[in-house]
Amino acid sequence: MPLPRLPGVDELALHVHTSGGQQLGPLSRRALDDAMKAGDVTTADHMWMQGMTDWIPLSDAPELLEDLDAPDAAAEMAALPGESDDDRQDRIFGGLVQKSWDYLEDHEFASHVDEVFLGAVITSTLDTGHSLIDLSSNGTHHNLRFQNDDDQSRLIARVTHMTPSMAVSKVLGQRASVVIGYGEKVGSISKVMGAVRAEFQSGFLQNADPGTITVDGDMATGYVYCQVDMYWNIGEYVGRDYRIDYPKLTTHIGATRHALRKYLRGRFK
Amino acid sequence: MFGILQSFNNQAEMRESKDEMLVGEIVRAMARRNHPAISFLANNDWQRVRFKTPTDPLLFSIFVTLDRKTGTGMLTEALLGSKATLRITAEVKNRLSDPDDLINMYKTDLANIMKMPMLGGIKLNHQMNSVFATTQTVIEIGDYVQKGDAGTEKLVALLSKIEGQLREKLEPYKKG
Repeated sequence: MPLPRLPGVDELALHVHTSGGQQLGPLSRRALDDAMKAGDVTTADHMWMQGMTDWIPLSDAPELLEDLDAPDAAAEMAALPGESDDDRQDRIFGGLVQKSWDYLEDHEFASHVDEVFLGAVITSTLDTGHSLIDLSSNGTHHNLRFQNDDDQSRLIARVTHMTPSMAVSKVLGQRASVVIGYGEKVGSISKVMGAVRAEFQSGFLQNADPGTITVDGDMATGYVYCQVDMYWNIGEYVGRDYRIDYPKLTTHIGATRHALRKYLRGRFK
Repeated sequence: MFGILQSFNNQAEMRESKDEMLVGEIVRAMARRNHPAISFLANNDWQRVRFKTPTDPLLFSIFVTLDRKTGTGMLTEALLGSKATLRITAEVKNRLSDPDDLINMYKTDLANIMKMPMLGGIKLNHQMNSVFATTQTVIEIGDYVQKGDAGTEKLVALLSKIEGQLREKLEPYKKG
């Protein structure tokens, strides 16, 4: 697959997935060259940029590392073999419009990546035998609640995007505050009351540190829940090309659910 | 601390969550078609999810709006089932627009003044850079939720069919 266009030498347009599972980018061609010289990236690693439908090995795009010292403007302005002046100017104008859209799409991606992640959480959790039974969002906090179709246990998730601006996400990566909760019916009102009392104590925690487990009870439904606060890097699960690493996401949610279930059963059952 | 529970409607019965269950199934069905969700709007009456179509050469995004019509109460569910209106809008986006698009936009708006997106019909809406095609259909929620893989496959087939119809209408509006 050919590249949709050759990005400028210093244009941040390239995304690289290394054989070690690392996701790098967006990188410029010059930064890619530096990473290859440092041995962080090899030609066997895969790259993607806006306009491509699939990742390709870097060995299939040698032009990315060619003419790095040639001034960008000169390369862009030179006519291609057999190209008329009219076509050349149209190509340059088309390139400017396309770059503008790429720029806009980078901004949009940074602002809605949390919702892409939310959709991935829904898909991943449904695939493990749950139904979505609650969904609420105020644009900042996204809340989901699922019920297991077999044992009626419940899973809740709150996702809060912490790096919605492109500039911040480029520096820190795509970070989110993720709260995962697990709930079961405990079958005894006194245990639900115990959980509600524990929730009252939890209320003194204004901002829980990561790894803090809190509990709550829902008198209306007889469910007792426990939850844990964490920070997750959304970029680990959602690629710039919108591909989702479902195996990793399912594993991480599953391990968290497992730990919370063990805690809840140890405490209330 | 545990504000999450307060943020939910806390439905006591699964019947009251059928909208959300269908929304979840729609998100999963669209993910199977490589259309990730990029925005969620949810309130008591209707829910809308926007999907990106990153590998589609024609479509830019798809909106799915779910409006529950019957089955919110136990009696209506028993008598009528749980029916919902599914409104689907596909969007084509052109990288360049010019005054001709402005003229076309008004022409489409004039043609649409008296037109409702009736069941099965397709309504076009022309903005400067975007052209939207919308259709809607009534579905029985129970056909698609808690049916396992069969329900998901049925939903994928329904959404693919509707997307194909909208695609046909939008194709002439995509600039090269």
